[in-house]
Amino acid sequence: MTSQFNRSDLERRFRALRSDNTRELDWGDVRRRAGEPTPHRPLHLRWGFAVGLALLLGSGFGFVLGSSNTPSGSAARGGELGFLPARGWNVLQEATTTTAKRPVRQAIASNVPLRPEDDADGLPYSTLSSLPRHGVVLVAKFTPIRGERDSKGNMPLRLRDAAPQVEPSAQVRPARPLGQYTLRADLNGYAVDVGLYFGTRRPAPEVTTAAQQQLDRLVVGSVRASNPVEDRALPIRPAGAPQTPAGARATSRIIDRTFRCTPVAVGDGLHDLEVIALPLGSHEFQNPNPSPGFLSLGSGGLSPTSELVSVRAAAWERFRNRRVLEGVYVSGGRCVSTRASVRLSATGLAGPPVQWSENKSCPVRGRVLVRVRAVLQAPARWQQLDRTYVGARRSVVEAALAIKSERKPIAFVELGPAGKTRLWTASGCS
Amino acid sequence: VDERARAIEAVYRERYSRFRDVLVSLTGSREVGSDAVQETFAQALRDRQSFRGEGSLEAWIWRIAVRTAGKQRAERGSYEFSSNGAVAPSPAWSDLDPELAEAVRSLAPRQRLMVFLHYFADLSYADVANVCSVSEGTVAATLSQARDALLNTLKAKEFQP
Repeated sequence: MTSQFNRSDLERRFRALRSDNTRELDWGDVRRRAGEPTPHRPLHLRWGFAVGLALLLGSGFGFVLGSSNTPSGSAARGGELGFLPARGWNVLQEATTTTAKRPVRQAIASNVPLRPEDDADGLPYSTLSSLPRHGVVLVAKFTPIRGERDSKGNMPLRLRDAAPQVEPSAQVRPARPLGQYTLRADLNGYAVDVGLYFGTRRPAPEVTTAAQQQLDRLVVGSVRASNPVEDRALPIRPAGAPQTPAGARATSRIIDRTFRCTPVAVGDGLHDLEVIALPLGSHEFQNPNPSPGFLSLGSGGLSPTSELVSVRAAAWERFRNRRVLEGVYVSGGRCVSTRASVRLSATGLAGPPVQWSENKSCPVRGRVLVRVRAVLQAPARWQQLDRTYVGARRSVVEAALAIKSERKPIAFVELGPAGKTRLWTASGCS
Repeated sequence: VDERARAIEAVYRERYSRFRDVLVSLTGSREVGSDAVQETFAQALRDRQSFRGEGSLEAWIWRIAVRTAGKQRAERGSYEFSSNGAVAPSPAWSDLDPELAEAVRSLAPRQRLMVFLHYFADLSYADVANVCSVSEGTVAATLSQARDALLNTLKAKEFQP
């Protein structure tokens, strides 16, 4: 017997022994043991609750129960959260509290009857596991935003902006995969997180449009009139395809993301910003280890945690005894993903570009926008890489960083496939 | 419910059987193993904020599971070092393939744990490495040794009269 044969034989034998008994599942017991608050069920009155909410909100919308299929787009009073049921839809919503300090509310809308064992708290697994092809379930979660944060979304939310969930581990029904999507926005003081579940990975346009109609009836303080519903619903991205750069979690060979980063303040309203380009084989200061091809936007000196955004073509020991692996790195603490537009070009910057090892200091006032585009050698997942950085860990073939303040370009730097770099900076950099 | 709690619940619902099979095998008791699964996820829920995203969430839960199984074993009597010799617990599926179960029981504890995690829990080498706090190379080597040991034991059985 060859070793390979033995191995697969063993694997088959092991696999045959796996059981699939889920009868003992008892999530309620887990929650109780964990000391989690038990969700309070709304008196068996799902419809009653929905109707009550419809009446309550309807009074603000200027319609009553009988006309709850009123086309979306009316104005609403501030403060309400939840779904108004579109015709043929069921709604279940309830306030839950994860911790005393952080109240979270959740609402569920479905175009199929919700299974009685599903609560308004958590995912309606029973309904999802038996969701027919035409079925749609929307799960909206509202988390109050603490402190000041920019509003990053517009109502009504658009299905065509939804990001498909492609991670196999996130699939609720692996045997017959659902079309799973997420939509996130900060609206009227709430972080709104909507999970969309279709009975099939490729929902029909009419199903998607119906889902948009229900999504239009999501209330987060206010609803605005808008263009025809199809414009917001279609085309929906195919489930299983890579997501948009912002919020993407799928594996992808091309990283193209934009961040709003807060550099370290150095006094007088100024923030420290350093743009570094190190072509393949060049040395940084006294570092005996040659660069593998490195681009960085740093702030707050030279330390393992001072990079806001960086790209390493390959693994490299930039700091003594700290071999950092290849990939795209973004500081999770200082940078947040944004949909702001940043041109990936040197337009507006002084030329010609510096093509050797260079470190430019560009003090700025306030935050900066950074767009990073990188072509990886193989697909990699965007994820938390260590305590400081999120990113994608894979060898980088080529990359570019564009940095700008809210108004002006600050720098543009490229790393080519041969490891060469080109750096353009604004005239204020030295 | 926050997103992390939801993700933990999703792992629980999707992978319950895997956790139960492995923990029953590690503790040698259906009752203790099932209880260990509940306790594992309860602890994961309690400590969810301490998950730092280094590795997969499932691997993190498996770490807790292995620890919980060890604790349960210690509390309810050790099977590994009983007074009448080193006896490993019977895997959950002993009755289905007693020959293989016996071979697995003869493995060293670490080999057995990695076999369970890789073949039953479906964890990748990287995740097994994460759960056991060793390198991927160590996982590959240990599993290779375990496979050889299993095959030798099974082969020897074949030629027994």
